[in-house]
Amino acid sequence: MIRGLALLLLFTFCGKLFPAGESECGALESCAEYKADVHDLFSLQRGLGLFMNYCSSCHSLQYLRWNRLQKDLDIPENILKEDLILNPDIKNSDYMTFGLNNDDSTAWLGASAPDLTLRTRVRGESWVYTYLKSFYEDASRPLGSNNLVLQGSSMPHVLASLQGNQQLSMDGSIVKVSEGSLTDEQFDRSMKDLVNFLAYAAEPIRSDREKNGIFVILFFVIFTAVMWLLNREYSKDIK
Amino acid sequence: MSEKNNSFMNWLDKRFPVTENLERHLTKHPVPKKVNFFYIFGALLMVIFMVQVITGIWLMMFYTNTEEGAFASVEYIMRDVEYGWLMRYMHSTGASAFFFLMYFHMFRGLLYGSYQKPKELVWLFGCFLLFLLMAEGFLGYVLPWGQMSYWAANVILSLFGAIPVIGPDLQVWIQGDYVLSGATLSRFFALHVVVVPLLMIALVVFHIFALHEVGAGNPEGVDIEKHRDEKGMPLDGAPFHPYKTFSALPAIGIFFVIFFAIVFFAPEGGGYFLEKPNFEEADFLKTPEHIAPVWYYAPFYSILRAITFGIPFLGITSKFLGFIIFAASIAILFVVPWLDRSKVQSIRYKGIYSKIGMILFAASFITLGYLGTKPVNELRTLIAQICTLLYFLPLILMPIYTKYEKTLEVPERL
Amino acid sequence: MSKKIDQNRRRALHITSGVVGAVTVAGFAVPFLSAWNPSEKAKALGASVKFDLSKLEAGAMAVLEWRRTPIFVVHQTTAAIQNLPKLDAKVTNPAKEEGITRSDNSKFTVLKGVCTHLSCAPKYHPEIEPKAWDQEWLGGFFCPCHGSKFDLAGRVYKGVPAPTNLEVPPHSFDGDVLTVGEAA
Repeated sequence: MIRGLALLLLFTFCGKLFPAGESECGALESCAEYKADVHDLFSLQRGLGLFMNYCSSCHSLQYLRWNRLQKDLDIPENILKEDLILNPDIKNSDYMTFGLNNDDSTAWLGASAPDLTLRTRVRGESWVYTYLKSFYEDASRPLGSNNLVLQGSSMPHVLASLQGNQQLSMDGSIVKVSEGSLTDEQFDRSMKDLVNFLAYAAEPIRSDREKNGIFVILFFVIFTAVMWLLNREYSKDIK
Repeated sequence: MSEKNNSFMNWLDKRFPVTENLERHLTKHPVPKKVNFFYIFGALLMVIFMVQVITGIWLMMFYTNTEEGAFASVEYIMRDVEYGWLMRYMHSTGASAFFFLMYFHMFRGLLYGSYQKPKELVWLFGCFLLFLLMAEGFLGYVLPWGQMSYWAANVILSLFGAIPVIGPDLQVWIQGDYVLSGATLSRFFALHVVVVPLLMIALVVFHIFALHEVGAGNPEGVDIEKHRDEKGMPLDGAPFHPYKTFSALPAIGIFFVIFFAIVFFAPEGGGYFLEKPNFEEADFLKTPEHIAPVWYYAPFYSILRAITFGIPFLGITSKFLGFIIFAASIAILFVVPWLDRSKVQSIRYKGIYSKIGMILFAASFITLGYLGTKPVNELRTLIAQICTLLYFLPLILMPIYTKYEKTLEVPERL
Repeated sequence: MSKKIDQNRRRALHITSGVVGAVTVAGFAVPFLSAWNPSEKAKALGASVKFDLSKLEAGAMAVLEWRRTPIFVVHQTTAAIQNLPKLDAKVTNPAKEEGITRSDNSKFTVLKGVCTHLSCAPKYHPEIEPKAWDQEWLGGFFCPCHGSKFDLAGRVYKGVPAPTNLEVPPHSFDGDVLTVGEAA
């Protein structure tokens, strides 16, 4: 039986010996790995700030309520109302719907600016992280910019003031041609903050579930142990 | 105190077969003493069935079964409903767990000849349950109305459309519309929530009644009924309750440890339990890059895709032939009791051909599963075709090699 | 075959596993029972409603909506305030402990616009003049469904189908802003 199992495992892995060459990262071979950290409150707050400043004029977060954001990110009421919501007619319980509607977006930019609430779950955190860093100047595009991760993207390089401008070199890699207001390290940190925030928006309960899961599992370990003892006692009857 | 209980039970028993059935199916029902961990999956399947029904009912309280509202209602459940996220993850993880347990449960059946006479009916009811589970999973997957829900449903529905002559009309009839739409969603909802679960409950009852009529098997393939003690209890057997009920409890505990580890730490299952494209609402103008079924359909999807040729002179397209072979890969399981002509029940005592056949069958099933989750290329298609052959051959040739191979002597006692 | 069964150990195990089992059931029950609580959507729709009182003239009534219930906000005139104590004998429950306006504000009354008989919406009749239903009408509400009468503070008259005064919803005043419902 052991030999059988060994053969089984060998055969199974035959399938893995021939990986295909299809890339999940556009023109790049693979996306830079990034796993979001939704437990870092300050990072999420910085990410929120970046989102509101650079993304919210086009992209909405239609499944996230303001009051949920307030509770999870610990935002004082006055900052929420005066600096974030801005419009006094919007209630705290409303959804974060701002940005462009589809018609305007398509007319002005060529494509709709999608809602971003679930974007990190659709594309993956690594993808979004790499995408944000991979814009480059492209005179052939209507808005003058393109992206290595999403070729032909209609999105302009909104983060150019922070990152600086980039161009494509002969070998297909990206090089920076001018400085932004942030250093490379700071920009990288900012993009991680932004992705952390988007990962939070995609699943606000994630931080809680990752924290509480250990207790549920621990309980079932105890459950198993107690039931094991019960079973062992009774199985003595039928030895 | 016990006097009062006795007279209450007497009253009840005169009107309803309570004690009679408790004894027949639990406290006096003999089962083999010594089995291995492969025998736990039936009990776990019942547990996961209950989990799915209860979480499913709760999800139903908050889900909107219309095209316009479905996707948003899932996010409503995830964000606005207290513990809605937990119910959703338990249900999605439960679906994958259901199939995982089902495949191992059936593998046990193949290994230890659980389908052999007189348990053919148990096996048939079981195969029907597999078919219903596959239907249930497909119907349920459409409900969130994400990109994969929509496009994978399109693929499967177009298989029906590939049936000659009646296909296109049949597809429209199933859809309730010229294209897959809200009309399809609503009827899939009714089927998923009421029809298939009721059928499954009925079949589980039949499955267990049929099993209890003839008695459970064991890894040795020994007939425990042959040697009994003075009281009529098989020497190698023990009453189901409390010995098997109590031995199931720690296994259920271990199962929940793994189950909740996934629910709380990796509910997406690396993109295999909750597929990434499904976090985007269905868009009939935009096809996803790869349309892949959930992992548990992958082996069968692989077989479907591997059939890249048709039978032109019979007017059978490759798509339709693929559908036929895909259906055959499930249908052939139904007839295994009649393919196996072996004198012995368990793989432990069967000959070398059965052992090789089992390894090839299992390995090809797993490899097909892996391939089914990946996009096609020439090499993968070739491997899938070979594996499809290695899936069918051990079954098709079974009547021959099981009859003539040299088997070992089965012991009398466990 | 015959071993001594340690009954004490068995009993201890029965109790322990019973407790663990009960905790498991309770643990499973909590999320399912909690899911029935009002969701964020319900809480959002049932949230408190604000109203700017500075625009409401004396003698006028505004109708707000809170939790699918009409809310009557009455700006009492001086005459009305003077007349209300005169009706103490004519109403079933004078509710003197609630104050003349039945609110914390001496000028405004906040009521649920739901007749306490069978839930019709009473009509506002602030005019002090004889009416078909009362020759000595000093202003109030008349319910057209079955003829119940309420004074301007929502107190029910004796001898009408409605048994109790119009309900006062939870509310608070903050300067010119009235909040109906608990403040968030």
